[in-house]
Amino acid sequence: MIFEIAKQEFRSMLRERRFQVAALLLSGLFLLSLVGAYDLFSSLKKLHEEAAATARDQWENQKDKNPHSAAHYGTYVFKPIYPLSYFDRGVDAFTGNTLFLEAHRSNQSKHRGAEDRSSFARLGVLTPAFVLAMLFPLFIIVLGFGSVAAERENGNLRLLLAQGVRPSALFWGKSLGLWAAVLALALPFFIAGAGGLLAAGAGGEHWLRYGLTMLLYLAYFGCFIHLTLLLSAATGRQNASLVASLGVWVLVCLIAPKAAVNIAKQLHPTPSSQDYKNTLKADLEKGVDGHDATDEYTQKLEAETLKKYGVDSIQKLPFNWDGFIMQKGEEHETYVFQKHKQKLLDVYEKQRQVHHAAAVISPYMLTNSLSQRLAGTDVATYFDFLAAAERYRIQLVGELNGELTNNFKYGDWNGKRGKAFFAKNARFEYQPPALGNLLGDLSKPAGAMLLWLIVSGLTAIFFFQKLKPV
Amino acid sequence: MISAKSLTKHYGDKIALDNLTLDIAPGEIFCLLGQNGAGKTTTINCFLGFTQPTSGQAFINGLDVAKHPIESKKHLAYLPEVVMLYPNLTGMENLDYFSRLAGFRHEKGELRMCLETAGLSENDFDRRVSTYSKGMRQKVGIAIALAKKAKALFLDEPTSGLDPKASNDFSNLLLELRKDGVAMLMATHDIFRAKDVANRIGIMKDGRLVNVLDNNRNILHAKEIEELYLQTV
Repeated sequence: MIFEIAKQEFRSMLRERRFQVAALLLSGLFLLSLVGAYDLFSSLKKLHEEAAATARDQWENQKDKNPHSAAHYGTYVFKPIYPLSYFDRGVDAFTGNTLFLEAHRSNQSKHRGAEDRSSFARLGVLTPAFVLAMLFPLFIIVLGFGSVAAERENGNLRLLLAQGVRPSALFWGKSLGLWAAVLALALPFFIAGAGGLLAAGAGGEHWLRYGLTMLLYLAYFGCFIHLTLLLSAATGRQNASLVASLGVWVLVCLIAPKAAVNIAKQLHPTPSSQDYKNTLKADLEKGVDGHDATDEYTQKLEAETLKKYGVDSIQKLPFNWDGFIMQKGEEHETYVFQKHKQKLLDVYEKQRQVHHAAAVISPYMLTNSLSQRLAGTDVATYFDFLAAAERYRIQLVGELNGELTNNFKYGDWNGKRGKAFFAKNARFEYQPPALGNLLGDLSKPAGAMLLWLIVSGLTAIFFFQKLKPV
Repeated sequence: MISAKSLTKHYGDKIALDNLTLDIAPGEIFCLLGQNGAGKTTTINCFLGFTQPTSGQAFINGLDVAKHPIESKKHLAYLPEVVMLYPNLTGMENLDYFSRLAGFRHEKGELRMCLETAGLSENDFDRRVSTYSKGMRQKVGIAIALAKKAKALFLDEPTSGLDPKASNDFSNLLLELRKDGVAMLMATHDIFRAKDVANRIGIMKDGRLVNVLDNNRNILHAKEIEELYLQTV
């Protein structure tokens, strides 16, 4: 009986102009998003690879210079563009992918897509993920809002029940029918989306991520199928059902994410850029400055070091004082930067936790966070990249100051190092967290998603049971 | 086949159905007359399980409807006043679908036979219902009831919207079904139709079955019934 209902539901839907128009529109948008997003992805990827090579090339081929000068000269590192980022750009457009590394300071990333594009970018580029998470539910609502409400209004429900149809069978039949319509569209989408992965030449793990992402979206669609049927049965009238479903869509997809961000910021305010810089500067001044010999901390360190080595001038130290003091300064600066960054990161992390907790109320937010996590375009992966870049900066500047300290005579500011040295400097190799390490992180929101699916389904069945044909 | 025991339904203070006791034997047609709101549809709703009676019981083929909501449906068919069906499906597809829901997988020929018996003209069988008139949809509704081969048939003002010829055909169809031993409860406003087909005619007022007229030998005159009806309501 369930299959009979599902079959008729699907057949009836296919013949409806509403389905035809909505399906055509959505397919067009999805293809557009896929082509556009893949185009952006491949050009960004190419750009990044070229720029990364150029940056390294510039580093190795910089003019012969003192190692510490080279540390000031600095270099760029790039967050790798993962294959799935074309599917879900996540926060990439806002965080940027490029970081300038130099001595004495820990910089923020540059080249945020959202900065040099119009306000359209803030709406989110039309990515496949956007079409699936934001627009696909509307398709489900358009197809499903009337399902049982229309039958109740036009009296078919009386006939159905008089034929001996169980309310629960009606629910399962209707939902299977909707599933058929959803899959008729979603499966070609998924296959087309995989084309991008194929074109990007992605390896095995990315296919696994893609598979999980598709499962995630299916669960998400399932939630909306249940919600739409639930409201159709609970209201029992087409008008009310449409208004209620659209209301839920606005709440879940538009208001909840915005509200969560605002609440997170209210609970854990981010310090203003000005405050952050001022406190940072104040702390930086309370330590060794490698470039200022009259600095009180530098003089204190000088006195201590001379005493330790039993000599009366820095020229007599067994190493180059300038290199040593540069590295000491660097260590202090790194410490201060890390301390302040950590504070900021703690705030971000708290905000993220509020956001994650709030996501439970919205399958859209759950889907978004999981999808971005799987695509490697989420905030956590970005922070992971920043941390790796900072570790690399410390390593590189350490190598340079070490060379100055150990292999240069004191006062030898004219001594230089060239390509042979710079080419041996550490390279930046960043690997995003492997899928296996993400599973723990993914399990909570995935569990919440499953709970949504089950609870919304049970509630829908409850309302189908209570359906009054009169 | 169809029986009610002290069936009562209250909506708050309002009494929609007041202590209705009724027995309709196989091969008997019982017509319910009465003004709108007299309780005719409420009576049918109780038998279909759409309305839970406040007290009393409704039985189909001996099954208490409230206790056997699904099982009791196997023995009944229902023809509502307005049959909407699925506009995107053809008459045949609608009939096939509703029959399958009732657990039947009729052959094409059998389905066509039902539509034919119901009076739908053959070149309309495979047209979409969205092109049908109200009367044509009503005929598909009749075919759905026929295809179920039920022993108890509930009709809620089935002839409203049918033209006189179709209405007459419909009466003849009911008489055929009566011969097959189907018990029928028909709510109607059509006194002449009731006189033509009914074994018994009940007149309802304010939820109570006030008068029951015996029409077994078809001796009643429409005029008499009308007078009684007007006196009652």
